[in-house]
Amino acid sequence: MFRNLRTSRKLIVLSFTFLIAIVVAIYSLIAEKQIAIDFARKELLGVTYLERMRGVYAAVLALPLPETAAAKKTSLDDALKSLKAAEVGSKARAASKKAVHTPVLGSKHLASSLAKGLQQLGTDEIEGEERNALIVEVLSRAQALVTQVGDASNLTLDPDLDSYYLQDTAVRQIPQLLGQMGAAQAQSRVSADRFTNEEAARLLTLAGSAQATIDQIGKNLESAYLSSFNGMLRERIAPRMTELLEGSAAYFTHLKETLDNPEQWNPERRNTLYQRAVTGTLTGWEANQTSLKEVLNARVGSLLNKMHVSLLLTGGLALLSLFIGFLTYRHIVPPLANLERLAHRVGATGDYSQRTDYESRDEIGQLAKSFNEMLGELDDSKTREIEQQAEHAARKRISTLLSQSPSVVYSFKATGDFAPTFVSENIHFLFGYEVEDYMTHAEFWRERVHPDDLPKLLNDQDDLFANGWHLAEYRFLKSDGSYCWVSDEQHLIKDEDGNPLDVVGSWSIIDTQKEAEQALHAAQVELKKAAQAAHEASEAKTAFLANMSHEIRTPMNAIIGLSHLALKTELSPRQRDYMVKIRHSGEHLLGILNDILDFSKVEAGKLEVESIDFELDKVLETVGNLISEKASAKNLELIFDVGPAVSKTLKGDPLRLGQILINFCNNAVKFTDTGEVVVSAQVLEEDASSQLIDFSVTDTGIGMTKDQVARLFEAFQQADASTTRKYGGTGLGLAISKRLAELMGGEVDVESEPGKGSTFRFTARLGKAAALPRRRLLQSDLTGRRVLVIDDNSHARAVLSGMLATLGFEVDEAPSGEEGIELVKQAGNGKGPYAIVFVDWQMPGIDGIEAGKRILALPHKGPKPHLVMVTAYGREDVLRQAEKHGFENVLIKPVTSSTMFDTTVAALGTDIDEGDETAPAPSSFDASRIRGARALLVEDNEINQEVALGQLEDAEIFVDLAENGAEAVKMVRENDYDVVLMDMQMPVMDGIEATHAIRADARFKSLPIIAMTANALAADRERCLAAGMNDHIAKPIHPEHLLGTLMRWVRPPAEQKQASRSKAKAKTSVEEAEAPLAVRGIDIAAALKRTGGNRKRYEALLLRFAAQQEDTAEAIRDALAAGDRGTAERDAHSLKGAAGTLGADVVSHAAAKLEAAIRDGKNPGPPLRTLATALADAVQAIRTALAGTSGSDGAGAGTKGGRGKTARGEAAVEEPLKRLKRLLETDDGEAADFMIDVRPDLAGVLTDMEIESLSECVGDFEFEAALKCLSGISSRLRLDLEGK
Amino acid sequence: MPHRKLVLIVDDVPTNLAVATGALKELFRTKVATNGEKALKIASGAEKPDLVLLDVMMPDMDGYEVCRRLKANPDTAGIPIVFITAKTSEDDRAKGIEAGAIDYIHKPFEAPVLIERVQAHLARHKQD
Repeated sequence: MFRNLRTSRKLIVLSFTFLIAIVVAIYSLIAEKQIAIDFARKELLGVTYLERMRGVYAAVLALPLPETAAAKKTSLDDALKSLKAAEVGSKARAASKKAVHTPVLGSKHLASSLAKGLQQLGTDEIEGEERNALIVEVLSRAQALVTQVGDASNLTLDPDLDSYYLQDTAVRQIPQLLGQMGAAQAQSRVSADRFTNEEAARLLTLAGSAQATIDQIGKNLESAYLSSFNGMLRERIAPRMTELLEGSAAYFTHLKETLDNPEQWNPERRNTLYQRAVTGTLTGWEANQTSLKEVLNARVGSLLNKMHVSLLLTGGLALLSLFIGFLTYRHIVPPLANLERLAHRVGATGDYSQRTDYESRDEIGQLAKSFNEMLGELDDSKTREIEQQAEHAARKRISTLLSQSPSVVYSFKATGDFAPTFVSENIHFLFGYEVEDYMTHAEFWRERVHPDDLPKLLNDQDDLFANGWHLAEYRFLKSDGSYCWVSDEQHLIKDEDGNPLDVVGSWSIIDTQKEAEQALHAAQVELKKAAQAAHEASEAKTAFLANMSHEIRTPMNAIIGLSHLALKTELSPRQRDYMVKIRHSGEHLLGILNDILDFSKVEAGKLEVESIDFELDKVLETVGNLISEKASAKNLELIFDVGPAVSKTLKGDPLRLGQILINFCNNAVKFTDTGEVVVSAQVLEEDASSQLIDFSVTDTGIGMTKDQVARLFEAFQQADASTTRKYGGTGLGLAISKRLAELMGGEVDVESEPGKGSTFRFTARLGKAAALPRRRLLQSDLTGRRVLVIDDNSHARAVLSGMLATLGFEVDEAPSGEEGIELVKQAGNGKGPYAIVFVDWQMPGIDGIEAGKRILALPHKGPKPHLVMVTAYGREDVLRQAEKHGFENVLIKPVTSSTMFDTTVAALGTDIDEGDETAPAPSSFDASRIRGARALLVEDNEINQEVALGQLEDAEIFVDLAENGAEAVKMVRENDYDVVLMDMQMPVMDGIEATHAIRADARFKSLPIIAMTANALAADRERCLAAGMNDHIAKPIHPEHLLGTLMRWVRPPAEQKQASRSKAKAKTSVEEAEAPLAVRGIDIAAALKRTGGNRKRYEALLLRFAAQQEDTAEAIRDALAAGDRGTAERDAHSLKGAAGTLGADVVSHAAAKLEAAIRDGKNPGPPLRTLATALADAVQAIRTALAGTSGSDGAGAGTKGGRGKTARGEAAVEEPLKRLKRLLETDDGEAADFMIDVRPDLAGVLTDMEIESLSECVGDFEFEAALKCLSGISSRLRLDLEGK
Repeated sequence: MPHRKLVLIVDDVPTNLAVATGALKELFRTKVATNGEKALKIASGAEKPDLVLLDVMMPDMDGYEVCRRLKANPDTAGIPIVFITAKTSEDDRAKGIEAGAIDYIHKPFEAPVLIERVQAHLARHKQD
């Protein structure tokens, strides 16, 4: 039955069996101990009893002594009580201790018998022998009781040696000794009587047995001492025991001696010995009992300890066994169950691949391993069977597949003879060979590889063994004798140890791939070549452009330069016309070339922008200068609108900025026929260091469609690329502009609507430069002054007003001349007069000139307003007309805030001067006060020298001349001057520096130094004063002004200086002007006045000017070409001054522009060209006019003829005009040339304007327009040009 | 000198007209037109030009169109037309010849070459 139990149950049963055994063993062990304990406890009970018995003995043994009856009675009562207590105590103990099952020590009857004996003794009835016998009887009863108690309490059975001897002494020997002692004493109390022999014998026997008892006690004690486990016993009880033994021995010895020798009988002594023996024995008994008790108690304690230890030990053992049982269970049952389940599963599924994962070194582990091995065996055999089947199927399939495959698979041994081992059947289909061919010929492959490919293949064979595989392509011979390209991929098969076994490879025919590859390769080579070529072409293009730039510029330079030079020579009008055209064409070409080069830089990413401080106004001014001519030619308003937030000084590339604006403006002007072009700059974003400015150019031109706009910023694209296009251009400008804007951190954008116009805008992020302070200097002078702007174009008006408001003016606007006049009229009565009135020239209704005239004609209470003409037509005739009618200044549109500022300052500056100065009457002042004064004139320009010298000499002032600042400083030190007149701009050392040097010398601290400068701005005046100059005279120098200033500063001179006055005076005689002098382009009246009215000197000055300045433009050009901008600027400056002095205002104006351009780092080309033309004209005009007077060169015959014809009048021009008309009418190409030829003849009869517009129309081959112009002329001159 | 041949020069750029007339005026009489319309008007006028020098790129009506119209008009179809243009590609030339021109001269031209070509065409035309 146990066999059938599950292992787990078996283990449980086993565990419980063991547990029960342990429990039983423990129980018996404990029970045994308990018995021993109970045994000892019972002994203790006996000992306690014996202790009580000591009192009984003490009382009984006291009886044979001669004591009082009462005392004896009391001690007997005590003995009874003691006995009673012993009986009660033994019972109580027995009842309280369950372990003691028998409470009775069996002492009851004996105790009561003893008690009876004691009670009898207590009675006085018994006396004498009877009493003595009773004592002996009681003692024997007591001994019987003690013996009974000793037996019943197991004391006599004590198992230990020490306690055994102690108890034997206590229970048997000592009570016996006491009984013998008491019996002996009781029997021997008879006084003086001799014992009977019987009695003596009895006593002797008693003494002898007592002696034996004593000996026994001694032996017992010795045994007990020896058995005591620690020897303490002897120390504790030995003295008292000795006392017992000696006392009792002494008594019995005495007794025996007295018995033997009756004469020695001494009851006294016997009693004493008896007393001592009893006391010693009782004391010894007590000690004996005490020791016995201690021993027993010790035994009980030890037993209890042992029992507890046993209990704990067995409890622990039980737990340990339980734990071991559990472990055993754990290690046996689950693995077995696992194995069982696995076996079951394998049996059920037949899947031999299953394994148990149990591992252990015990039998179960071994079993699991064996089981797994068994399963493995089963599994392998089954797998082999399946594999064999599968392999067979696979072989079949592979064989089929291989025969269908496009590749031939083969193998051969990787070692030894490389014997072939396999080839797929399709070798037949691919190459035409049989399997046997391959399998039987070791050299099969080697013989069929193309001989050219073989060496390389054999060479590469090592790759296979090095890398494990190899791929090769080569030509392979087919059975039909032809070669095909194969791709041969080989793999090396190795065994487990890495030794080569077989080589498996495959051949694929790759003829088509090879062809494609070769084609591809060829294409790639082509492509590479093409790319290389393209790259080279691009490089070549860059190099070409760089070279071309130079190559083109060289002849261009010659064309432009030589045409310019040619223009300066004596040319017939026609030649001049040709040359001008050549020059314009050259300049045009240069512009295109620059565009192309810029664009090539854009393409090459080499276009860069600078970052320098510049004034935006100057840039806009340049743009305006370039564009305004074209704009005004088309009658377009050009308006500049710069937002007040736009910083005046910026950091960026002014040239490139200008380039974009010029490009946009050129386009705007080109595509606009009527209306306006507005250039605007507004701040879009601003931070601490920069502004994002939106620049826009808005026109009212033809506009564009969306498609056109979309293509606009692409290179080479133009809105109109057709052959009928109206507007030329390279189409690069916008692409360049776009790139430039991007480089400036912005972008371009166009809004356009066909027919309405376009807005081209770009943004640029420009740094803020440190603002120049000059703007603020005069602000307070301007603030609150009232000005009026009269312009019909609202946009232009708004822009002007805005600028003026920014300058601090209070601005009123009027859209027409009439309204403007009305406002001026009202202002006179109301809020206060206008300081300046800005009048547009061309207005419907009353034009600017007329409006100005009427304004001046109004009755003015205060000072009359300053009139400023605003016009887009910077032509001389307009300027002259304006001046004639009281306009003080002309603002050429587009007006920039800078020119506006200069103009207003110039206009109001005179007010300030007049207010400050106290020299009102220029013609009637008394100059005599300063006659004879000594002045140093510091001036580098000869003309200016002449002018100033003349004026000073007229005033009878002695003048020394210094040509530059350094010379001046030297001369000041060496001579004694009353005043120094100092030019500002000079070579070597300029005026400011010279002043500093002079002032540095303490002697000249108060020497008056007066600046002469062409710059009328307050800022310059400030600069002069700051340098230590006393005053400032603006050029051109008016004699009145000069003398007034001198009078203010020069102290009356010393007498000796006046002596030479007459010499100077001699020069001042004014020659009469025999005939009015007229030179075209020169304001002779003003100039004559300026030069003191001396016509002869003036004429001489004019001639000298012509001679000296003729080449100035060329000199400036050379200086610029050499990079010497300083010289160029100085030359321009001098020319400006000289021309201004002589009244050659056009030249002066042009020179001023050039000077500004050079100073501001702008392109000096255009102003230089303008200047050159103006200068050449002026020089020509001077020579022409003064030909007779001077007799010098330059008097052309044609011009002379022209002058002659003037006298002849209208009739003289009739014939040429008739012919011109006829030519025009027949569209004859000759007309243009004829016009050039006849032009000089028309001068004097036709107005300059008539000639100008007529020759322009004819020159442009606009014959219809020319005819219209001609009919206008003929009707004015009342000429009949019809017919021959 | 009425026997001198009359050449009509058509170009929108005045300078070009000046240059061409300057080159030709010693040997020929010239008429000028700054646009196609004017050219057609002159060509169909009382005195017909013996040869027309025609620019290609002109606003409103290009040279090809002028040429086609001249050829389309029986009055003017016989006038030999020579393009004189800065458009120098073969395509442009083909276009010009297709439009009915007899020659195609590139700008910039040299005066002697222009004269020679004009003379040659006039002579040939006379023979025809």
